[in-house]
Amino acid sequence: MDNREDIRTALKSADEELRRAVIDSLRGRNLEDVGEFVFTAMGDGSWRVRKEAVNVFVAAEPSGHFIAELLELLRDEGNAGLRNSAAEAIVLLGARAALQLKTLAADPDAGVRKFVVDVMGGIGDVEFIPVLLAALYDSDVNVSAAAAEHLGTIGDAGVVPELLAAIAANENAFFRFSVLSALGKLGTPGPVPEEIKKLVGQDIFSKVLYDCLGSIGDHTAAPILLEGFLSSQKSARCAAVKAFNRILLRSGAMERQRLQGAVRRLSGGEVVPAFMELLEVEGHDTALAEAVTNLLGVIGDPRAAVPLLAAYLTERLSSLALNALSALGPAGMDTLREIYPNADEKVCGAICTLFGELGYPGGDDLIRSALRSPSPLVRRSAVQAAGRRGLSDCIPEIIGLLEEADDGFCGAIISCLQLLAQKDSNPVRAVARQLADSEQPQRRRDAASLFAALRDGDYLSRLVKDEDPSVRQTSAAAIGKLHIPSLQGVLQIALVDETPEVRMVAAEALGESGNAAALEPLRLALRDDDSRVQCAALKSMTRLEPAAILDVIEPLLPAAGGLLMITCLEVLESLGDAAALDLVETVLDNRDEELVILAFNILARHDKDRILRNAERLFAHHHAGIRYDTAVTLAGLAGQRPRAVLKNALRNEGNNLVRDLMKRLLKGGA
Amino acid sequence: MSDDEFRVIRDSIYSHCGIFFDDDSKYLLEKRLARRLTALSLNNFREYYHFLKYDRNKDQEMMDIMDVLTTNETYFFRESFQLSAFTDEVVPELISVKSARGDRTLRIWSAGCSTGEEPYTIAMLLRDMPRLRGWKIEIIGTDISQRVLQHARRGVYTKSSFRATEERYIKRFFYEYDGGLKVTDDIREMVTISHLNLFDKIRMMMLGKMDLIFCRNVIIYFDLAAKKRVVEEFHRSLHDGGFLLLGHSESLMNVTTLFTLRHFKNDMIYQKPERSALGDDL
Ligand SMILES: C[S@@+](CC[C@H](N)C(=O)[O-])C[C@H]1O[C@@H](n2cnc3c(N)ncnc32)[C@H](O)[C@@H]1O
Repeated sequence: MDNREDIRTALKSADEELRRAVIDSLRGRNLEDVGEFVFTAMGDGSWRVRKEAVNVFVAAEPSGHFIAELLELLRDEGNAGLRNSAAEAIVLLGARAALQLKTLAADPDAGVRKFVVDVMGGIGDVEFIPVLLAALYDSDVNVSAAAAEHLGTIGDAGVVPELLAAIAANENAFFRFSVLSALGKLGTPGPVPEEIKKLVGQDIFSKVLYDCLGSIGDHTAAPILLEGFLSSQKSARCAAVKAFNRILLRSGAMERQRLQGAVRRLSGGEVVPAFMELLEVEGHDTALAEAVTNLLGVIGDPRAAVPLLAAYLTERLSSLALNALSALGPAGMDTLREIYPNADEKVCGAICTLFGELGYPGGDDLIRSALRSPSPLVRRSAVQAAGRRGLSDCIPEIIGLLEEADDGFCGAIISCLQLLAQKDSNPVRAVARQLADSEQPQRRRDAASLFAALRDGDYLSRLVKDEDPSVRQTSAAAIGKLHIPSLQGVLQIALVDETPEVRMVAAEALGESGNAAALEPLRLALRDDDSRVQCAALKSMTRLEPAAILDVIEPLLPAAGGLLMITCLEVLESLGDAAALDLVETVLDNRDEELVILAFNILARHDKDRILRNAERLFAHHHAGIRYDTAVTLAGLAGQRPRAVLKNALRNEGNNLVRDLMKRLLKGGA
Repeated sequence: MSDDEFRVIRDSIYSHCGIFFDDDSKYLLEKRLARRLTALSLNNFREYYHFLKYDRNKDQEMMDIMDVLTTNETYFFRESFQLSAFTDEVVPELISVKSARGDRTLRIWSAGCSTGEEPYTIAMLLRDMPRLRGWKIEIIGTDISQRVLQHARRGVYTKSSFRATEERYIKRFFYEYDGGLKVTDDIREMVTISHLNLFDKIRMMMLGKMDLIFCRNVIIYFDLAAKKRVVEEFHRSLHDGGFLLLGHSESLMNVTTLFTLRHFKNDMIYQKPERSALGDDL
């Protein structure tokens, strides 16, 4: 649209889309011609039109007088939309508007000064700090408070002393509020500044003051925060708790002990119930829930056991709560034991788990009776706990549960029996035998796990012949862990199993056996047609005879593909000596670029000179990433030769990205 | 199946497992493989050939073909006169030779064991030999067909497996199970079942050295070249002085001269000659 009248008319149209399109059509035009329209549109009733106008204005790279004009718009009292557009445009112009902005900072109109300060904060450039510091003393509190706030967002800690001076000088509560929150963002932890101590006790500041101390306080803030624990406002109490916890977590060992001592004295007092009330395990304030959980543990008051149990039941607080419950000691556990009879199944299960986990002997009878609970959940927790506590007298009862157990529960029972096998092997052996005869492969697999725990090689060598591959696999793995030399032959035969997983496990197990006689069959397994078996064999050979592994790997390298090659490289890297790296170097010729990159990285980690030595062929590689990395590595090397090679490579480099990088590196930049 | 298709498919099978179908057997092969076409929803043998050659699952298919093509017929105590030679003459000789050297281990391989009757038979026979008490006995049964291995490991059999079994063996070494008879644990324990293609040289080497190999009614399906190859591998797998027991209709005549034919009272059996008078390998 060219005709100015048409534009003007269009901008008055009732159709928002038309107005927006008109402004869009001005994009790229000289502002000297169309600035008037753009400014008009910045005050449009529709935000979409205003936004378009702001974009067009900024894209036109406006010169000085347009910026001045734009800033004048900040004065417009009548049109808030226009003022906001102007502010937005200035923020987008950023440092380009800085000079003019600064001159406006002393404008007689407080509204303008406030806008200026806000825009400076929005741009967030350190260049504005002196102006903002001066604005801390503005006669208008809206301006001074905004200045404090923005100093906080710009994030230069150097201004902390000035903020402290200002907080002492200006008694206005709103201003102090802003300074405290800015200090919270900027300060580094240390003793509580005098200026802030003076504010303690003024209720209106409590929350923000505690927040601030959480960021900048050290142990000297403790008395203030302890006081805050019982503040009449809930928000302030929460802030104090979080702040105290933050300080506690970042303190050194000695300070931490002192802080812990201080909270421990709250045990038995009125703070504990107050804390318990604050602990909302499902609440949104995660930091609060974590702080309360942690501090309740430190306080160690057994009354906290019940709410901590609730925290233990929620995933995100679970491990913290476990520590806290552990800190409560037997008295806390006694409390839980008392609530058990009337608790729901979820809580009962958790109590059993806890008693097992924390090793609480006073809970053993409860665990025993929980094995008979009508709730499967409770029975399952009890089984796990019995295993942990080593309650071998429960074995018959636990075995009885196998009958009706589903797969998940069976898993728990078997893990438990594995633990108990060490205490009393006979009954466990009896179940294992029963399970070994089961029709279900899963049960026979369980039998293998139990025989492994019983270190019963005879039975394992039977199960390793099972008709189900998963049973053979489990048994072979167990045999490997037991290091029974007489079973070596069994594992060797498992190397020709038809199921690759069994062969793989057998190859691994032969490595664990530590028996050099396994080397020969493993060497043959290197030629298995499943690469996972090959890799397992290679790793096992490395374990058995690291000194000879280079001779094994060398002939593999020319033909090895994917997974096997990766394993070869891993082994070579673990050896890391010159002979191993020589072999890694040969992989640089591989056709698979992933493998070349892997080899390259190993060489770069262990011996960068090798990259230099191979630089020419690396620069000839078709994969740009390899050439890129080579250039970067060379640039990091001392001496003239790397530079010369790099220069040479630049001449032949076709990829712009790599060329640019090479040029920058040669110039000395990164 | 066109003649061309027949030839290419036959050759793939031959190079995989040595089983050779001559031109007269085209109809047989076609009939057996027809099941695979249906199973894979393929339209004709051309597609099937391509599948065998290029498909991602071609190895698995070869395995499955083996299940269809191989004749797995077998039963307990098959070829009793040979088994008598085994228990009355061959094993006692091995016992003497080996115990003279202080070696009390016996490794026996049933190659092409099908559903397992052969290795279990061997185990039952050895269990009855007092002179082997305290010996470490290992019987390994292998086969190329996955389906039969499953059966062998399970060790449950029905009537047709017992056509040559004396009642006393059934009483001692079997118990009723799941509608059939199951081999007792102590016999099963002596036997390891594993998968092996007799054309896979590497796997054969992995099994290690043997004192005695049963390979009965397996290489009859192989052509001469394949027979030669397999028998030479057996030769390598045996200790010097070790024995190779073939089916009664099979012979090594025109196959190899690596073995000598020993005349025992009950049967004639191939033996790998001692390398030297000392036979230091045995
Ligand atoms: C007829 S059965 C013999 C069973 C037993 N040896 C006997 O004489 O009663 C032949 C077996 O040889 C197996 N077989 C055929 N070709 C084979 C190969 N290339 N590798 C291993 N086994 C093979 C078949 O799967 C089949 O189970």
